[in-house]
Amino acid sequence: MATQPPSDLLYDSEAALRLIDTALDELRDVSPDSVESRARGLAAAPPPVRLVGLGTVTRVLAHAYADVMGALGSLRDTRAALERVAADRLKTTNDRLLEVSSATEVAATDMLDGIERSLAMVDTLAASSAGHDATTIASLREELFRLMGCMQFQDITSQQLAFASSMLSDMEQRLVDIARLFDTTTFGEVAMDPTEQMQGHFDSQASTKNAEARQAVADEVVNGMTDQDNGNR
Amino acid sequence: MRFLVIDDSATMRRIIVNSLQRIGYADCVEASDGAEALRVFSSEIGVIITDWNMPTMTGVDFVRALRERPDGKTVPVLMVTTRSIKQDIVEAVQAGVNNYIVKPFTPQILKEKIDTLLSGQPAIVS
Repeated sequence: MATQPPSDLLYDSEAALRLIDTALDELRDVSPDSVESRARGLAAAPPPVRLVGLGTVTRVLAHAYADVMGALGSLRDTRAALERVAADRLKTTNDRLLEVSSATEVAATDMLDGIERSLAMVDTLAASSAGHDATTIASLREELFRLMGCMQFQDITSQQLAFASSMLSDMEQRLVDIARLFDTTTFGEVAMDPTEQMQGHFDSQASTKNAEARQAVADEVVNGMTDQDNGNR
Repeated sequence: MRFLVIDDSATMRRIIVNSLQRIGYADCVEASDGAEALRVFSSEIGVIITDWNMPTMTGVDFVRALRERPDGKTVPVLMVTTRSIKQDIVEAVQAGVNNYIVKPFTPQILKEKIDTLLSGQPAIVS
């Protein structure tokens, strides 16, 4: 069924209502005497305008019915599309994000386990080497600690993923809300706003970039406030 | 010196605890959010290292609650977080955080901030 833009539909409906109103006015003009005479078949044929009015009402009602059915059809199409996006694609994408987050956490834990085992081996090596290769062993230990520090990416990216996930959940919620306007029976009760549920769990602006510059800002703020506080004491 | 390390990320707790051990602080207690930290906190804790964004109770709320306790008014608190907006840093310091590290951090930064804390930098609680 062809769909119409809402503005066109509104315009057509308004026009249809005007025609109905006009037709009803014409019917109201028919006097009880002439109706009675017509019923008895004694009076002359009714004026043509009254017959045209009844025909117009029929046509207008048929047109209005078709418009309403068209509108309902388009609403059903829209609801189905929203349902597909909200309940299927967004949820799948969200599930994948959570899976990635979980997988990186497991991988990070495994890597930390390996680094800790390696550090223990370096300690054993250092104890048994009796000072030989001390520089190399120290460098190896340093490198392993540096690798451990790199694992901070997991915390930062998991916050970024949590933010993306909450945005998808929020979008899903909004689409479901819109779909419910069209059909209140299809969608069940919707859970609490997921972005509110997750409030405080993550930093939406978490980043692995420009750590030094951001640390410099933090130092400047903390030192400034400390100096001011010391001055006030 | 006993440290209380608070972070909802087990990875981050391990990194911080390992970094502390490397610079000579092996005695660490861990908590995964502010509420748990309030339960495990005792006067034996010498330094607290806390994240900001955590479920149940955030790091800033934890610090505010800590500073209300008679035994938590002076313990040094170092916040280690991804949040780096000036307004956030001001809020943390006003809540009672003594110093602030932005993630990702290096072991050198951690050592430098702990040295500063242990040298007696007071908290600003407004």
